[in-house]
Amino acid sequence: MKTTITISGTHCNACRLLIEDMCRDVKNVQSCNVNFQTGETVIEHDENLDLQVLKNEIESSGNYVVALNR
Amino acid sequence: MSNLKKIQLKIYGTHCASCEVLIERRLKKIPGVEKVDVHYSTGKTEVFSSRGDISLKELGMPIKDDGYSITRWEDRYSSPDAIKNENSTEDYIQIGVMFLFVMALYLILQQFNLLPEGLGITNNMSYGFVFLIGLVAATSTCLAVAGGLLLTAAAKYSEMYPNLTGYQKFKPTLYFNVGRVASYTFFGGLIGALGSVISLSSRGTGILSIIASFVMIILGFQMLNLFPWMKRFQPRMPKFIVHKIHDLSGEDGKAGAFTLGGLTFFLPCGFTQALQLYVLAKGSFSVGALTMLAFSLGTLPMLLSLGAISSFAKGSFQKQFLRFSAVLVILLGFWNINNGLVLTGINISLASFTSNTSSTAAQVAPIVDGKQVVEMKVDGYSYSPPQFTIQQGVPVDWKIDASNAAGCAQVITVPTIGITKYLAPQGITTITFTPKDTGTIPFSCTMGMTTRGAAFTVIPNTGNVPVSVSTDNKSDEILAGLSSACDPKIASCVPNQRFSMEISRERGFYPKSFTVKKGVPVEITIDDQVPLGGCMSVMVIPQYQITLPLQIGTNKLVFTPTEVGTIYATCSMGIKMIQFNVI
Repeated sequence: MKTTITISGTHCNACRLLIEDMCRDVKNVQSCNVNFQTGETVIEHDENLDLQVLKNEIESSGNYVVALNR
Repeated sequence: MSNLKKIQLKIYGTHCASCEVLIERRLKKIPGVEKVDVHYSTGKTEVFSSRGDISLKELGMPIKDDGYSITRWEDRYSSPDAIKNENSTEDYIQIGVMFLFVMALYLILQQFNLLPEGLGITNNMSYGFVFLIGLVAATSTCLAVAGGLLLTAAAKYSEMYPNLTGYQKFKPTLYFNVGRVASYTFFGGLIGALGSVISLSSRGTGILSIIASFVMIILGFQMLNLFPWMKRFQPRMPKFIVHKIHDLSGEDGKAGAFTLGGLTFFLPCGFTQALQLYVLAKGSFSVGALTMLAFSLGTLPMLLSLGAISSFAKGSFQKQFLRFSAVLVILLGFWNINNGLVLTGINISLASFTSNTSSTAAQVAPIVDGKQVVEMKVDGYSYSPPQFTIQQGVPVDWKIDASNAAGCAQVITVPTIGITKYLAPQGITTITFTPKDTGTIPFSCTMGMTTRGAAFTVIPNTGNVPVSVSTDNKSDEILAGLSSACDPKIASCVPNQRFSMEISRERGFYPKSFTVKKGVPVEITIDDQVPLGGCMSVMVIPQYQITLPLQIGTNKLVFTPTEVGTIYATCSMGIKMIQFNVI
């Protein structure tokens, strides 16, 4: 299952790698792909993924804000 | 904890705070690593490990694929990576060529008079140029933050209203940018107004523009990746404000997007900050508002079409374009520093290559009737010739033809000898002074916008002219202008018409208009309670060629109206200050 979210505050490749890192650590996430120029992020995950948990995890680093598209 | 081993590393390729977090996370996953401390600006990294045998290769592995390379701190200069991460010789040559190219372009355009007035670099910083800076800034990473916020707002909006058409989806983008432009204009004006309240002397203005210029030069060097250590000088915004702005992006709807766009004014971005300083130095609401408006409009194309441009901004074209912009930013910075130096009274010609007449070496002024006579023309904002060599102790007759002078160039100021003079649009204005000391006597318009490096060079007296006994350095013309004698031909001699007015924060110019009788000398005592900067520091009555530098305290303006009608006293750029109704 795929979900697209938008993350603001990404400005370079390091942000991309960092977010992908954090994202993959969240339970039920299989893969994560960030486009740092647009902030658009595609997540492959199980049915049970709690997007709120993912959002909190990424925002906890303090530099990014996540918008959950629908 | 005491048995932790500290390893000092140099990591190449770090360029932002995200790199710090990323590397710290990766390295902590290595068994035995307890604590990692990365400084992105220097690349200096400290790793605390419980294992003594941890190898460099082991530490480098997890971040190698991310584009970082690693070496021991001691080896940071000898490592092959040290060379790889700097610009190559070829890069330096390309940058050098770019510098030459930009300068040549400027000189050619100047030669053929193709530089439009609005874009002339000599014209301080014009709005056209600020617009260009906006265009450049939008391609740099510092505005990418604003772009990210915009996308978040847009995403949030489509999240709330899922069934939108294309145009409606575009709406938040529109609101965001309207908010942005409005806020830049408004706050730019506010900063300008702030600058006028704390009202900087021309010296203060000079110092501020020098600081702003340094910020620009640093930005330029950063874009060229020339001096990575300069990163440290980039001003930063406290983190909590950034968070506040980010938090707002969670809010929805038009107002949210509008506010968000507006708040980007406060996001830390070197370009915005440099301009904010610049505007502060200008000390005028309208100049501030217009400057920031031009800048925000410059960033607009990029922010309106984020995706499209970021895909264009790749490859070698982008690299050259960035370099071109960077070189432009650096040169502009140097020009402005020079401007600032003129205003502070120091005259070091950093950019003397801009002066189009510097090739003609200044000759020692000829001496006529015991006076050194120099002639100068003012064309727009440039002096021709801008440099003179004169002898110490001999009176100078400085004849100025200002028939083509523009804006503030209608008034000339010589800070070191305290002369400020309105230049008549017809005929020749003569300023007389005697140079007492050797050295340079720089001159400019009251806003420092005229030819850079314009100055008298005073050389020791060669002995063939007697040294004048006059110790009065002030222009006789000014004194004469201030004390117009009673002229019985125009009217019978009556006492002066005396008035007083004040310039204060509360009342501005008060009163602003006077009714005076024709033919009778008018004497106005002006009580100036606020320091006046820029063109406002000089009051001019163009009709009678009277110039009065306004200083805090009591200033006296004396003139005799010769005709019935309305006469204005203006600032040196022609903005009306007070009005006289002559009856």
